[in-house]
Amino acid sequence: MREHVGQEGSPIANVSQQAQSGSLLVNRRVWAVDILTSVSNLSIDIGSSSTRAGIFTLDPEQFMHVECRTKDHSSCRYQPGEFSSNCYPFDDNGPTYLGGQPDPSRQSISAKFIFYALTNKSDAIFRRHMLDYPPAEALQHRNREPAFRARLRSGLVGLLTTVRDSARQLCKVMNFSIQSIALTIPAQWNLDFEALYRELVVEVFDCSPDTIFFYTEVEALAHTLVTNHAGELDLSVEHPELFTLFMDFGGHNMVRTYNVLRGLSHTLFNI
Amino acid sequence: MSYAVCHTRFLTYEAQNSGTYDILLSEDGGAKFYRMNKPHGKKLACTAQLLAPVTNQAGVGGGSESWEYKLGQLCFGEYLHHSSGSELLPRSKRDILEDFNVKKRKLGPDAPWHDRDFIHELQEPQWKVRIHASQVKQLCKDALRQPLLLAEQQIKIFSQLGGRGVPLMIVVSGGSAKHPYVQEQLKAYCEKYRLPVPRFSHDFIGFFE
Repeated sequence: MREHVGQEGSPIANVSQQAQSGSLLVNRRVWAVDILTSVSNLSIDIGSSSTRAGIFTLDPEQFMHVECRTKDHSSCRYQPGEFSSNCYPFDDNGPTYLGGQPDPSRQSISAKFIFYALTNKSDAIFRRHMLDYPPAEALQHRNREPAFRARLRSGLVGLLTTVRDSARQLCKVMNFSIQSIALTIPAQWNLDFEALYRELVVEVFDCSPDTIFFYTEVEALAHTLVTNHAGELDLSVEHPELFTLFMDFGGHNMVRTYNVLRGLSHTLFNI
Repeated sequence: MSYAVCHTRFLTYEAQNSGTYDILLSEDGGAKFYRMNKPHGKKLACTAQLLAPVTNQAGVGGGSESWEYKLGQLCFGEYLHHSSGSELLPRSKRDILEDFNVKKRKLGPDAPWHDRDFIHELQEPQWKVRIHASQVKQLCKDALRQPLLLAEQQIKIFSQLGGRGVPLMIVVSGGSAKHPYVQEQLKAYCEKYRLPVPRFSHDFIGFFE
């Protein structure tokens, strides 16, 4: 698996998360269905600077990156192949999402902050959020304008559509179809955020809401680190039990999770 | 009603025999347990109970991106003052932020360039902005205050598990964790609460840029 680290956000976590949210999902499905069928799962991780996507298939067991078709080398914030998270809702001089070809003459904002504007209809709640997320304050002044809100929404749709097109292209070449979609979200996003995100994905991917699953970013990260890097973490059968605190210091937020790991001869995370 | 406002999650795993719990917490500190699958782990419930009352926040805003944003706003404000009212073009703003983004791991508290000012020279319009080192450091501390507060709180709670004879480990990841300030603060918290030095994921996964 390709691992790389950008300068913003928590790319180690995020890149690995794609793979992991896939595995998590597969595990859960295996538990639920109890039959190993050919499962392919698309995972999407919207970061503050870039959005990563990947497809995990069970038969054969593999993970593939879904890459942005237009390569952008003008930003040092993320790797070529990742999708830009920048949206352009502030003016009418073109589309609200430009993929990997940014327009430096237009004001942009991360898709991640658009979720805050669209989910918080109340000004008071939005203002409280902005104490935590100052970059979202650019959205506050116009958040009540229906036309502006429509542009914000079209930015998110644009991003997801670009991911969808690349994913479909990969599916066509590799001859499999997407059966479920795993989405990573910050731990503090509430059910309103999930509802909005789910609605957008259903609209763009034309899929059933039942095929969409949410995983918190740190949950996926913990799973990845333990599954793929147990050796580096000195996890071994000699220490059958271990309490671990995972903390993820992203550009956007800090989250944590506790894990009790035991019995390494067994699957560590047997969800 | 407040449950819908703040739905934070907290997962505990008892891996062997699988018991997974999702705990939803409200803003007033109340917790709701949701069992995700078959309960086998005998100890799980007690571990969860130990940790649940104090985990009223699963995450907080703040990080290197907020630092960059605040510094950017300061620079743009300086220009507004300098040009008596006209705003910088989005392109110039982007140039300043990109420049800072490249330098930010070296600037700020505990970093190699902790005593250097942030200076950026624009060609068009011709203008030079200088943010004093002390201000750069203060903005960094402001942006990371909330995450570090939460981190210290979590490390303190976590250290209370130490009496059970089970080894404890802290794993830290994320872009902001690459800044020396965050690393130094976390190391200090671990020392304060007598925990082993935290493991930073970039140390064992590696930087790939």
